[in-house]
Amino acid sequence: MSRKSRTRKTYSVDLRQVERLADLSRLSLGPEEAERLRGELSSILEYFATLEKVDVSGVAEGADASLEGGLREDVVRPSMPAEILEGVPQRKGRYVRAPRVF
Amino acid sequence: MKSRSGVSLHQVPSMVSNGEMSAEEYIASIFEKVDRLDQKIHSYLQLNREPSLAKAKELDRRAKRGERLGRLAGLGIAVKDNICVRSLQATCASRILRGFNPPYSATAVQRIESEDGIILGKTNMDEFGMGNTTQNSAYGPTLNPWDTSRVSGGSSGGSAAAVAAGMASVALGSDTGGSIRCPSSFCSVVGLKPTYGRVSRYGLIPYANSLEQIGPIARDAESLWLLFSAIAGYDAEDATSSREPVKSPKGDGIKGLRVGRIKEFFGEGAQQKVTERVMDGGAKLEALGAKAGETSIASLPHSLAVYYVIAMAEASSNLSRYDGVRYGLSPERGTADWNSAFARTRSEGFGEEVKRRILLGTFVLSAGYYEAYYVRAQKVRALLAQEFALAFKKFDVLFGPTMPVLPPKLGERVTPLEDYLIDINTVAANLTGLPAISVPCGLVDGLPVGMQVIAPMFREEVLLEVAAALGREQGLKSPPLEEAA
Amino acid sequence: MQAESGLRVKIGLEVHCQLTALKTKLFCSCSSDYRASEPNEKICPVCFGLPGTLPVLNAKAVEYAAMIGLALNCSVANRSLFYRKNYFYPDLPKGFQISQYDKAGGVPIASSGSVEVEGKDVRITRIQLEEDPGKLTYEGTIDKSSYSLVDYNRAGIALVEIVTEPDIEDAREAKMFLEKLRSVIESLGVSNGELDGAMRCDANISLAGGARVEVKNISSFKEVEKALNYEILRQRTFSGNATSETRHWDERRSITIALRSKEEEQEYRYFPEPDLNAIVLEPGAIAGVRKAMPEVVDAKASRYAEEFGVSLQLAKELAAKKELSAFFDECARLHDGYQEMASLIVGELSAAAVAGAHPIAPEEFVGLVRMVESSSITRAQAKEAIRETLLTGRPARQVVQMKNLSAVVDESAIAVVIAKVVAARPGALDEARGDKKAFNHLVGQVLKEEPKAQPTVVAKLLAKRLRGK
Repeated sequence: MSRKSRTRKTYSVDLRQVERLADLSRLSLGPEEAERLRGELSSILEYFATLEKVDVSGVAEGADASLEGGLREDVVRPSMPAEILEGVPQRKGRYVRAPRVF
Repeated sequence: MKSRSGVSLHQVPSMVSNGEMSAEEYIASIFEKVDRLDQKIHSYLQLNREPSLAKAKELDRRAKRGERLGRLAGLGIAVKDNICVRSLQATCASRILRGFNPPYSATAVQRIESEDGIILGKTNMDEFGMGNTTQNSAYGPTLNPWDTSRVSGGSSGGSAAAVAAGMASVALGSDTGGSIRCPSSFCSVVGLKPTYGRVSRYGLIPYANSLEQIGPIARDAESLWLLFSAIAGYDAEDATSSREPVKSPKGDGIKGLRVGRIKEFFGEGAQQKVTERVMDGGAKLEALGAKAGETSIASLPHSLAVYYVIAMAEASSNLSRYDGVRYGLSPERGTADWNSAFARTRSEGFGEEVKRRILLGTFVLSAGYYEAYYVRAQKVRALLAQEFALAFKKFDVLFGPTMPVLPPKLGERVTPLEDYLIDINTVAANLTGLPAISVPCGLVDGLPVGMQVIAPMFREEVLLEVAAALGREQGLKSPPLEEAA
Repeated sequence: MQAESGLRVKIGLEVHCQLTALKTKLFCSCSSDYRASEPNEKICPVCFGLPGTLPVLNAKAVEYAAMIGLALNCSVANRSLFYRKNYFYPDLPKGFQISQYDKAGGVPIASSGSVEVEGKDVRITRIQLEEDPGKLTYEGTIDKSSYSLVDYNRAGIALVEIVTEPDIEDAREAKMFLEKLRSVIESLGVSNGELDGAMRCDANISLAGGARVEVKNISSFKEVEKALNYEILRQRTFSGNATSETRHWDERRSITIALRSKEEEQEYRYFPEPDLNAIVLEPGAIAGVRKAMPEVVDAKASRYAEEFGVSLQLAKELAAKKELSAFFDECARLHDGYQEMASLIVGELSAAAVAGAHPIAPEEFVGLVRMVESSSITRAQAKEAIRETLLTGRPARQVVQMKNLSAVVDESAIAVVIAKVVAARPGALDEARGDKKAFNHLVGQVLKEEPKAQPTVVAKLLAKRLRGK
């Protein structure tokens, strides 16, 4: 899927889309749960679609609310390895143990 | 506000400092109240009893030695559980963060502690800040001290209820779409969402970064300001924090202040009796010398959709880091691979509402929808800011009801969308970054109503003046629960 | 690599370069010096991704990235944003990487530049700042291990991603490009490309307008050439459009393998990073960076050629290595035998040696050069002395004395040697007459017999002899 700026009119999602979203967010949903969410998401998205009607021509293109500044000097401060590792649930020596990837 | 011994809360630090009052006794009395009342209310998730009493004792010792104590000396402060306090857990009222002990405290907490404030414990909330009733907590809801069959509001329900019932002097909450103002309104306390960038977000576990702020909740304007001025100000750890200095309130009332009623907040969506109370509040302001008028913010009806698109988008990304690998919930994974272990941890650890918002946020950011939803929402957001800026040319502050309804009954069945809709009055201030306060504004059948007042960027001191004026006028009431205790 | 049926190859590279000269990471103040550390030693709440922490941008990283942009002839943006690239992997602590993404409407910190490689321009599409993820390892082999091990020391290290247009046409050119890129970046002093993992690259290859194949996991520049040659051959063998896919370079077996096929393109859900502000670089600030930055490699080479008369090829080699050119600059202040010095520096002093345990001082070096020029030692003897100094630390002058290095210039002595050599090689004189190669060969034979002979004198006498005594 490329990110072209086409206007997509979506007032509802189907089950396949719900499953894809769940997969993208790493959530596993039961079949009942998925169906219920499908209905809820659809009505909420329909509500969001009201934004299409708003006339935004008065807003500057690429206007972002970003502020400026807030940088820091390149000066080393002590790290915090002991305290952080203490909170890690599963470790192997100094490594964080995570599930295998493949 | 006078406590039962007749002391105004904001005087506590000076009285502790010059030995007129014992911090240890005061803090002990608060915990005693917690022991009596909190079974009914369920404000607190964790109590910090022993360290608090020890610190209070130490303050009394230092006072006796003639030491000058901090501005918050002796005050007992409840902290919402999405704000990190070192040595206490930060669960955000979620299962997925059970057992997470942050090795750092939020900047706001550090500032409280350096002013000798005492952290009483961590308060209940809607999971990750997502909700307006505190029923979305994984650890049970918080009830309203004014009517325990009703919700306290959310997501800072625990903090607001604790303050309302005298189970804390003041409290910290966070506000992403109304999460300080809503429970403050429902619990009849004063709650301030500062200007975006006013209070450091370092140590606030985020729901929506571009919208939220940590803010104070208190029984009265003076103690609110005490807490606010201690935590506000630039922080190098937060790149979005502002260097704009905090102005002090002049303290000479609201004569000549131009107050504007926002038409859209008084429409058919609001319960009539709620509207009436707030209109009365407006009349009181006029009686005190303010000049009242009316204005319209044309894009307000769209603010809810704008808010949810942006908030959910940011949230879906912010919550990606909860994988059970480095902290928090870590269920036995066996030899499961990364993706399925991850999905299982998250599905077990997140509640319904959180999952819903993650899915929606993922949707509005994904290819093909990003322009139509997220980018568009940001544009309407900019439009809203322009409209408010225009209104502030004619008025010094704007107002309306904080919530369009009275505190709902516990367990009332509503669809998610119906639930989102009651945020309609509060989200605009988060979208625009404007400071907004909720002030108690009377009762309807014994249930609290709040008035929301909005000021221009960085003008919290004007809100304080209005809150103080209205507070003096209304007088402070205590919830029946506290009176009976 | 046999020339094939003329199927045109287009290669684009994505190079990730760590800004190793920074003392701290990109968004936190942990030390960036992690290579000698124990696992999970250089970590803090921010780079570990603990909840409630916020990134704060390293100001020097912005300066260095802008500098790289200028050195690669790019336009540096006055205003650029950070974006979140959302995906899940154990080495990515926040579940997203903070990067810069130009297709969502934002601009990266620099774009639209070029690098000259052997007379050809390779265009630079964009340059962006981003953070490195941590490192994933396994106990034993990847397929047998039931879990993975993660070290977050590298998480948050500042990276500059440099992306080229598909202007590169073969594997060798790719390697040349990468080496040029590395020398340019090193000459700026912002990164040491020799450090393990400091420069990594992915490649995009297509043949004759066919589908684009991405090759990832190429660990070193040497591997780049191998990987590209393999992939080009593989695609040619299947002739026609390869499927658009991502492949992984397996160094052990020297092949590319298809990664698990995905039905759809990766969905990263990019959006602007709300915790960070726009990077603002006013024209004045950019001009300041340009002024403060060290001389770029190409400009330096031109200067050596034009100002000092050093031959262009030699000038390029000299300019390519920061330590060598610095050494040359020092020597040039002391003596004007530029070509000779350049030649000896490039030939004998590798960068490591100059900075090594026994460096040679510019004064010593210049002394040797003077001796060569005055014919008191031969060039070969100078090289010998240099090597000895580098090895032992003994001052060059001392080496010359100890080893009794002196050029033999006595013509009668050399004539004797020439006579001996010629006598042992019947017909050699005739061959040498008129054939430059044979002549030089004969000179070489004489020098072999008498290494201390000054080559110019040998050549003079031999030529004289050829002309008939």
